[in-house]
Amino acid sequence: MTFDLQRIREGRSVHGVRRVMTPEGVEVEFVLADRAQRLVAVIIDLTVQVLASLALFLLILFVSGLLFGEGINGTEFFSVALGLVSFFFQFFYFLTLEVMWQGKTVGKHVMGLRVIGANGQPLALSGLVARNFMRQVELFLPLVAGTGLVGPTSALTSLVSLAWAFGLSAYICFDADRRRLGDLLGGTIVVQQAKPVLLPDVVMQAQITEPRFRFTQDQLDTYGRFELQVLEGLLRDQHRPDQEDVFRRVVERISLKIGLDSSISPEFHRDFLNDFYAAQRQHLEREALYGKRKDSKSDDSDDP
Amino acid sequence: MSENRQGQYGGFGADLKSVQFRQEREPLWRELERLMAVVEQRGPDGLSFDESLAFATLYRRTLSSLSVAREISLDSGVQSYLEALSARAYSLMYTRPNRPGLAMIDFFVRGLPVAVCAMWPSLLVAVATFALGAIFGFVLYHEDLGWLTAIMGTDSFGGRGPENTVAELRETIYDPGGVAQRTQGWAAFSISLMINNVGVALLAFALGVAGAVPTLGLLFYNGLVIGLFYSVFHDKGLGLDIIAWLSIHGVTEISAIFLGGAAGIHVGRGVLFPGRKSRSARLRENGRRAGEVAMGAVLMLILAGLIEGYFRQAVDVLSWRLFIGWGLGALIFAYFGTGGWWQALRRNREP
Repeated sequence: MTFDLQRIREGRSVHGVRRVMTPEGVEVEFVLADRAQRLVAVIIDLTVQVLASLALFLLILFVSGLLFGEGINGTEFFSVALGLVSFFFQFFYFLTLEVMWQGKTVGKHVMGLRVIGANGQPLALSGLVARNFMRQVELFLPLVAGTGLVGPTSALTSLVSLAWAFGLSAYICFDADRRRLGDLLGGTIVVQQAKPVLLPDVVMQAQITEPRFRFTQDQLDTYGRFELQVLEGLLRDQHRPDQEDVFRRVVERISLKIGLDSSISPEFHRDFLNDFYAAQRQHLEREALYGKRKDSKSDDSDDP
Repeated sequence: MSENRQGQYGGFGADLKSVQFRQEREPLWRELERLMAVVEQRGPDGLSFDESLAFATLYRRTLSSLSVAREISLDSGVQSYLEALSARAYSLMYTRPNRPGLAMIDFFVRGLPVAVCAMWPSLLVAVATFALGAIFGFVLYHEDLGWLTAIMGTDSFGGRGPENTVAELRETIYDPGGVAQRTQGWAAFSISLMINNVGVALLAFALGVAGAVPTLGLLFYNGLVIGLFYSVFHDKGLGLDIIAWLSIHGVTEISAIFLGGAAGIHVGRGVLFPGRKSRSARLRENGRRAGEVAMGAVLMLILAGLIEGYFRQAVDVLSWRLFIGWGLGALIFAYFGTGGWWQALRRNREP
C-alpha cells in the first residue's frame, strides 16, 4: 500500500491509474487505455484510412472522367490526384485528426480514448508530430514486413526482419504507463475518457427527518473511512436479491462490534443502517476538522 | 472530554458538512458538464467568448472542489464524480494547441530553424555519414565493377550502367524529345518518388530510438547508392552533367534526408547519452525537437517533389540546372541559418 502511494507520488502508474499534476497544482487521476483497446482503435483507424482513400479514389475517378473523358491528360491528372491522396493518408491521417480533434482519431473516439500530455503540460504540436511520425516504424514497418511486400526473400532473413520490425512495437507491452515509443518521444499518454456520473447522496436519499437510532461517540469511534464507504456501497445497491439477508448480517455484525445490547427487529434494519451511516459520517467529518483522520477500523493512530 | 464522550449522535442530512459542500457547488459542476458537452460536440470554437471564459473558471473551481473533497468528503459518490469530471475537463482544456494558426506561423518563422540549428552536431554526423557512404561507393566502383551488381543487383539504375555507351547515358540526362513529351507522366512518377522519400526520411527519424544505428546505416546506404550512381556517369566523362541533373531537385532532397537523419541521430543521442536528466525526460525533449526537424524534412521533400515533377526534365541546360538547384540550396541554408540568429537573440535577452 505504501509502496503504491510512493509510486503514485512519483507520477508512475499503479494498476493502470496515472496521476497527472495539472498546471493548477491539483493532481488528477486518469485511467490508462488498455493495450487491447488501443489495438482495436488502431485497427479501426487503418480500416477508415483504407475505406476513405478508396472512396476518394472513386470520387477522383468520377471527376477526372467528367473533366477529361478518356484523354491522356486525364490519366495524368488521375494518377497525380491518387498519389496526393495516398500521400496524405499514409503520413498525415493520424496527425491531422489528433491536432484538430483534441487528441482523438476515429478509432480512439469509438473506443472512448484520448491522447493527453503525460506531465500535465498542454498537448504540444511538436509532441503530436513526434508521436505520429514514430508510427512509420511502430505500425507501418511491421505491416509491410508482415505482408512481405518489401524485404529479403529467404525465410530466415524475412523472419529476422519481422522480429526486428515487431521488436520496437512490442515496447508498449513493457511500459508501466502503457506508452508506445511514439508516446515516449512526444511526452504523451493515452487515457480512457472518464464519464462523470453524480449519484444521489445516500444521506439525502434516505430522507431522515428524525433519526430513530442514536449512537455515542465511543460507538462511532469503532469504524473508519473505509468501512463507511463499504456501507455506502451497500446502501446504494438497492436491487440485490439477497438484500434482507445481507442487511441482517451487517446489522448483527455492527451491533456486536459497537456493543449494542438490544437486538433490532428486521423491519428497522434499513433505518438502522441509514441512521448509523449518517451518524458515522457526521462523526468522522467532525473529527477530520480537528485533524484526526481514521482511514479504517485498524487505524488507531491518534496523531494528526 | 468525558462529558463530550457521552453525547448522543444522530445525523441529519443538512447538518453534514459534506452535504452542504455538495449543495453549494453542484450547480457549478452541472454547468461545467453542459459546457463540456458543447465542446465535445462542436469543438472549443462552439463556445461563445463568455462561455469559454466560464469554462476555464468552472474548470478551476471544479479542481478546487476535488482537492477539498479528497480531504473532507467521506461521500465516495461525490468524490469519484469529481475525479471523473476533473479528468474529463482537463482533457478538454489542455489537448488543443493554443491558437493552431499562430503556432504554425511561429513554427515556420522561428521553431523550425531554431530546432535545426540546435542539433548541429547531429546534422554534422548525418552529413559525414552520407558523404562517407558516397566516397565508399565511388572507391568500390573503381576497385571492382562486381561491387555494383553485388550492392544494387542487375539492372542497377534502370538501364543506366557501365555497359551503356556515352551517347545512351547522355540521352537519359538530356532527353531528345520535346519538352511536352519529356514531362509526360513525370508528375505522377515524381509523386510516387516523393512518397518513397518521405517514407525514408521518417524512417531515418523513427529508427533513432534504436540508438540511431539503423539511421546511420540508412544514411550510409543512401550515400553509397549516390556514389555508385555518380561513378557510372563519371567514368564516361559526364560527371558535371549528372551533378547538374541531380542538383536541380537533389540539393533540396538530399538536404531533407540529412534533416531526417539528423532528427534520428538526435533521438538516438537521447537514448544513449541522456546526461543529467532521466532517460525518459531527455527522450521527450529530444523527441519533440527531432519531430519538428522531421516535419521540416517532409516539407522540403514536398518542395523537392514539386521541382522534380516539372523542372528536372523541362530545364535541360546544364548551367540552369546547377543555378536552380544550388540557388535553392543557398536559400534553404540561409533560412535555417536564421535559427542561429534567433538563438543569439534569446541569449542576449536573457542575462
